Amino acid sequence: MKKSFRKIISAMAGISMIAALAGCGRQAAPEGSGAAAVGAQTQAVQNDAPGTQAADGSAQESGKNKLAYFFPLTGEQMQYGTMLQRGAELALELYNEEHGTSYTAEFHDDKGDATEAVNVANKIVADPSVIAGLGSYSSSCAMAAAPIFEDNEMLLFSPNASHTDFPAMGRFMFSCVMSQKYEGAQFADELFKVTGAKKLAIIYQNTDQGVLASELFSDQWKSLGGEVVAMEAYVTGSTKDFSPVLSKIKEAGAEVIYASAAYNEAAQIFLQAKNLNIEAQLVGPGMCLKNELLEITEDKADGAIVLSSIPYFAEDSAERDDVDEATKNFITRFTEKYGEIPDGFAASSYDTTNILLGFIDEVGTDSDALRQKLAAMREFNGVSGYNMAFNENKEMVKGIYVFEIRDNTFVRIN
Amino acid sequence: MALLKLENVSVSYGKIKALDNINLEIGEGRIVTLIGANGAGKSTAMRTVMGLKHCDGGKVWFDGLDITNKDTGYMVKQGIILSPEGRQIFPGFTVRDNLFMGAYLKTKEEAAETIDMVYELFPKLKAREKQTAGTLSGGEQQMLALGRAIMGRPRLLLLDEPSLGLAPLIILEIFEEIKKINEMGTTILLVEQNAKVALKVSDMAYVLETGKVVLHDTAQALLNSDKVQKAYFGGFAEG
Amino acid sequence: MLLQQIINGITIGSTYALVAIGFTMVFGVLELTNFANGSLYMLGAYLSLMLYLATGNFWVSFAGSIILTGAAGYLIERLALRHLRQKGAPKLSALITTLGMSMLLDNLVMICFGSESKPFPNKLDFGRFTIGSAVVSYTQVIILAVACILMLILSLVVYKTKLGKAMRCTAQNMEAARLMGINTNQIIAMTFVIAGALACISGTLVGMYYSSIDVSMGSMIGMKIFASAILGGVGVLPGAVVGGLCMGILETVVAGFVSSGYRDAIAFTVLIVVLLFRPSGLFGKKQINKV
Repeated sequence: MKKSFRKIISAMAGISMIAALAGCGRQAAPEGSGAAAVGAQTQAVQNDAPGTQAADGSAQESGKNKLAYFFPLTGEQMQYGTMLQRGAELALELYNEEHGTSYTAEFHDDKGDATEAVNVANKIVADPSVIAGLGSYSSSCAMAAAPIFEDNEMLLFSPNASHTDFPAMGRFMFSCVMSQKYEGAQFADELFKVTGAKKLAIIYQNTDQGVLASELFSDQWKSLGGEVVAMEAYVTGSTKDFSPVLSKIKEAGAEVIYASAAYNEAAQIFLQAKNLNIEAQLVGPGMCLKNELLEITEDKADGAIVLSSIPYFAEDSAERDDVDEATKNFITRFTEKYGEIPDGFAASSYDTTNILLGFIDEVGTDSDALRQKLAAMREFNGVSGYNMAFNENKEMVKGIYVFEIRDNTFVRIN
Repeated sequence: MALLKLENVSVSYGKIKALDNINLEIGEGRIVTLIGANGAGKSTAMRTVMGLKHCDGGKVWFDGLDITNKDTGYMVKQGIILSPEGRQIFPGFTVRDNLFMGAYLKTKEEAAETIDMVYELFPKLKAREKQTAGTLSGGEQQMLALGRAIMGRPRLLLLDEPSLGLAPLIILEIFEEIKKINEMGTTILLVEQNAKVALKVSDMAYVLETGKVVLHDTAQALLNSDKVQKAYFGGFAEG
Repeated sequence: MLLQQIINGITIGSTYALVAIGFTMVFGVLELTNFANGSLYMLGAYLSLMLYLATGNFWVSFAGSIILTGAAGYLIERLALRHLRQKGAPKLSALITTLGMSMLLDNLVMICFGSESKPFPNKLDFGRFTIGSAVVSYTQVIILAVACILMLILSLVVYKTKLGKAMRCTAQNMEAARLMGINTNQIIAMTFVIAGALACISGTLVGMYYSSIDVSMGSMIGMKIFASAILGGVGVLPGAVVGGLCMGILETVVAGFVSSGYRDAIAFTVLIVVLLFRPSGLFGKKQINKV
């Protein structure tokens, strides 16, 4: 049953490939670097190997033209999974449009559950038309799936896994977001600079990631000469009332409160801090850079700072001066297609897809070749960040954005 | 004229036939007893009349009205009240509140009148008016159950095993009250394992065996019958 | 700080108490643990929000939501539970059915409205004042007041009215209640409607307090409501109130002085302790059953 199924899929893939070729009648550009790609992307991709004929040719040979994604498409994390999917879909559509290619995507639902992620990963690696796997939203799902991709020597390029240990899980593991390791420390740096305060309190999620992130943040803060007066964990997903924790922190005399929390929980922290007449500087991480947070807090969170390695997308971003053309195009096309503006997750997924497709066009679908290209990526500017690069440990590093909430919107202050 | 008439009534519990085509008639103003061994179908008959159990065949008539398979509330409205097996008083309520629950479908005025009558019949209840019903003795609870039933001013009173678990002297007392209630005009259908005591107060009796009526005569005749003596009177206290 | 914790605990506790009342009433009457109560709480909050977004008038929407949630409670009983009761199904079946209903409602809301938190208008935001070192918002005061008033009204109904008497009868002995001529089906349905309405009020108040609602809010409090009802003595109305308040205060104090992580554990701990040492709860009576 399995074998004949595979044969049918391969046959269909082959046929659609030929059909696409015949229909398009366009040839891939001979040089890889500085490829035309106007309107879809501006890429400044440094690579060592000279451009090759790649794309359609090698794809046809290997019978692979599919990118397999896995996200939480149902369940509590559905809101994030949906955005991740959309970013990828748009990137694919625009890329195919632009280059006359016919890459396809398959989206799997891991339900936000690590066990399910493993099932999905197995399905993906067994599919011969898949070039690489991309997923998930949570690090735990990506890390659960990683060994399977590694064993099968298939690339796993995650648009959102930020756990420090993820890149080290194999030669084929890459993440398009900044690792917690650097994000935590860089956030602490920027915050210290911007506020000039000394006494810090951290409220953090009691997940592996949360614990790690808070430790890194606090270590860096201390090394800069600051003092950590309180570190309070909370059960993520089931805590709404932060007043006990905040009362404690108020008593400890914190000047800065870093709420390492998802946007809805951070919103509660900000509101409840106000209700307790707390005057310390409130700070949130990239997860808070969402309009939904502003909807909940209305004007009560003005003055709070948000640190992010991913930019902000507002209704009026397309008209703002501090947003580049590629990003404006992304926002416009996204809004056209889906009826709402994208967020950081969609942007990350968009970049991940484009980076990968760009490299596939250059060196073909061989996992090893792709992995080398990724590792060598430097100074990539996408819609989800600037100065994106992979360091010697395959960890992503990029520039940090600092926002302040003013008049119920996020204003960049760095 | 029969106040209550069961015509070819059949009742089953799943595949088991509890009542098999039985015919009963209770004349107005009479006390009629159903006697029989455990599982003969006596309680089932009561429950069917009361609308607590669905009957698969036959009809039940009350004063000419077809009450087959109507619900319990309807029965109570028509004036049929059951004092169930095991008393089933409301243990958390006081004696007084229990009694008033019996008059749930009656007006306040009617209830006030009737409760005086109940207290006359059962002075012990009056004495324990404010006591929580769950703390009463077995005999007192039975009195309470009876009193509660009367509060609804029934035309037909169904009594299911009133002597169950009671001491012999108390049983006598209870049955005296039952007789008094009947003398006040209430028709009574009695189900009893203690056949002797029951037959002594009754006018007519039916003997049920595995869902069928096997004997039907005046109570006196059954009391005198050797057959019935042997089968049903063994082991019970002299009343 | 203790004062602040207690004040916050009382506020949370009042919202628990409201839902616990409905829960305990259903338990009293049917000996049924209604798992769907938490979902009704969440549904009520969502309906209030959606009606408000549609009509622009909050209080009318709130009233409408109460009616609709009460109706939802009724439907759960009428469509799923009554049938089981009439067939004489074991109590476990009813319990599992409420669990199923809860999942159905939760997921239905998630499909219709998405899984993200939704901002909720706080119509009770009239500022704050201080008592010593503690800050109290008027929202908190109003929530407590509403909870108290509702508890009073409900107690009046249950203990002074004929309907209330009928409910208590049904709770003590359903068959005997039927024999009194009480329409027990109606009583049970009414209990569910009340439970639904109370859950809706609590959910909406909580939505206002936190300025946001999300689909998981019902399952979050489910266990706490259960523990509150057991602590107070299940089936006993004032018990539910006291239980809810205690639970709220305990939880907040533990979160403040020990660690926020133990906040939910408190509900389970209380449950275990009560069941081990005093299963009838603070106000429950040990039933005296004589033959």
